[in-house]
Amino acid sequence: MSEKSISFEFSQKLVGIQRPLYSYILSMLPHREDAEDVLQEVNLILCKKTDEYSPTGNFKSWAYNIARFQIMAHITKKKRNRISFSNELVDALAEENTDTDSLHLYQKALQICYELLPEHMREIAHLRFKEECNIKVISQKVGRPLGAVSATLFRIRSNLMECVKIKLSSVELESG
Amino acid sequence: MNEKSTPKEIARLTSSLLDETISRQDLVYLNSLLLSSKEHRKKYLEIIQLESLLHWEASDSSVLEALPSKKTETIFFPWISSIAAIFLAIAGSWWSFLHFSSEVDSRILSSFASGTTQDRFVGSYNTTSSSNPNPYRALGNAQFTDVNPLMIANEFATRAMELLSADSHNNGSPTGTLENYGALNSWSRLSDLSVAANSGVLPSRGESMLQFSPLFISMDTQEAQIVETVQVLDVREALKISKKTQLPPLISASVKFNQSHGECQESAEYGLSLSAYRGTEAEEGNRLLHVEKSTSGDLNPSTWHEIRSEIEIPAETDFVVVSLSTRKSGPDALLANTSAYFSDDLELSLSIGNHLEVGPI
Repeated sequence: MSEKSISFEFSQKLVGIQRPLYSYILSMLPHREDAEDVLQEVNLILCKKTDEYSPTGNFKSWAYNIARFQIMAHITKKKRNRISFSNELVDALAEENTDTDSLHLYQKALQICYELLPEHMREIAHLRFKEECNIKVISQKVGRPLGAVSATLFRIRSNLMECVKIKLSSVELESG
Repeated sequence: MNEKSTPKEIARLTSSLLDETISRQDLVYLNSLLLSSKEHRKKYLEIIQLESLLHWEASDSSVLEALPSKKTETIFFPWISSIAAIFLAIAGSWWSFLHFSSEVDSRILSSFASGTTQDRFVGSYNTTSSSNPNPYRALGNAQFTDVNPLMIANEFATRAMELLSADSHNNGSPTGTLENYGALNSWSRLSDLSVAANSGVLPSRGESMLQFSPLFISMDTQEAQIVETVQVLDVREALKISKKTQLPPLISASVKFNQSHGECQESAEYGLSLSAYRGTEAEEGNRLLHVEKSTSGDLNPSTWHEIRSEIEIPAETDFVVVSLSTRKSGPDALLANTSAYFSDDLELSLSIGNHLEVGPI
C-alpha cells in the first residue's frame, strides 16, 4: 500500500474537527467505545481519501457524511448486541446543526464548572469520566447503591449543564 | 407528562442511556420523544455535547487538570516530523490506551500455564467465549509472564487435529470452524480472530482482518512474542492422491502483517510457519517438517508486509499446521502491547501437479 502525504492544511482541519466529530458520532451512537471506534475509522478513511479533499470544499460536511455512513454501518453490525435508536431518529439527529464554533468557550466554561462540583460528585464524576468505570464498579468503589450512583450522575450532568449556561457569558467576555 | 417536565425527562433518560442503564422500554420512549420535536433533539444534543467533552477531555487530560488523580499520558513521537503524522500518532496511541486496559484473568493464565488437558482447554475457552471468543485476549496487556506462547499455540493445534481426526465436522466447534474442500479438511480460527478496522489500522483488503492476541512478555529475556495457530489442514486424503500419482503435494501460503501506533520505537518481526505433523499431537517428536519465514515490519499503520512460503508435504504427514507470530526483543519488548498487531490476506492452497488444486483454503 502506498503512503499518502497529508497537507498541513488538511491535518489542521482534521485535528480541529475531532471534538465536534466525536460529539456528532456520540449523539447517534451513545456508547463511548462504539463512538471511539467509529471516530477512529472515520479518521483513517479521511486520511485515506485525502486525494478527494478540496481546500475550497466544506471539510466538516465531508467528514460528517463519512461519519454518518460509518455510524449506520456500525449500528447495523452491532444491532444484535446493543440497544440503539431507530434509523429514523438517527437520520433526524444527523440533520441537526449544532454550534461547533463556540466549542472552545463551552470547554472553558465546563472546566470552571467541573471545579465547582461538590466533593462527593467530583469523586463519582472522576470515576465515570476519567477512570471510565461503569455504574456497577462505581457503586462498589463508593459504597453506594446503583440507583444512587445513577441519580448522582444525572445530577452531575444537570448541574454542569446549568452551570455552563451561566458561565458561558463571562467566558465569552473574557475571550473578547 | 406536561411540557415543562419533558426537558428534565429527556435529561434523565439520556443520562441513563449514557450510563448504559436504560431499559428497552425507556429507550423506545426516549426515541419517540426525540422524534416528536426539534426542541427535544436540541436538548438531547446539548447533553451529548457535554458528555463528549467530558469523555474527550478526560482521555486527553489537557483540560480537566483540576482532577485529583493521575493523568492519562498523551504520547508524542518526536521522530515523526509532519503534523499529520503527529496527529495519527496521537490518535492511534490515545485509542490504543483506551482499548488495551482490560484486566488480567489470572484463572485463565494459570489454566494454560499449569497443564494441557483437553478438558481444561475447552473449559478455559468457554470462560471467555460469551464476550470474547479468544482466551488470549482475556489476559489483557499485563502479560509479564514466563508462559511459553508456543505451548498455547500447540494446544490449539493438537485440539484441532483431534477434532479433524475424529471426523466430527461440527461447525459449532468452540475452538474454530471446520471446513471441507473435497480431499482436504480444514480447521480455522480466522473468524474467531477477525476484527474490523481497529487501533488505527484498516484491513489490507475487505472489511476484516486478523488481530493477534496480546504478546507474552518475558521480563528476564526482554522478549515479547505471540504465536497464533490459525489453521490446521488434514492432508491425509490428499496424500493418498499424491501417492497414486507419484507427484509431490505442495502447500503455498502468503499473508500480510501490520501494527498500530504504540510506544515502541522499533518495529515488530512477523513470522509465517508451516509445520507438518504425523499423528494428532503437535509435539516436537511428531513434527516432520517446520518452515518459518519472517519479515520485519515498520511503525506505519498504513503499510502491510507480506510473507510467502511454500513447502512440499512429507509423505507420512497427517496434518499441516499454519501459524502466525509476532515478536519483539530488547527494551522495546516491554512496551510491546501498547501496539496492536494484525494480519490479513492469508491465502493457502494445496496442489498435486495437475491432479489436485485446492485453494484458496
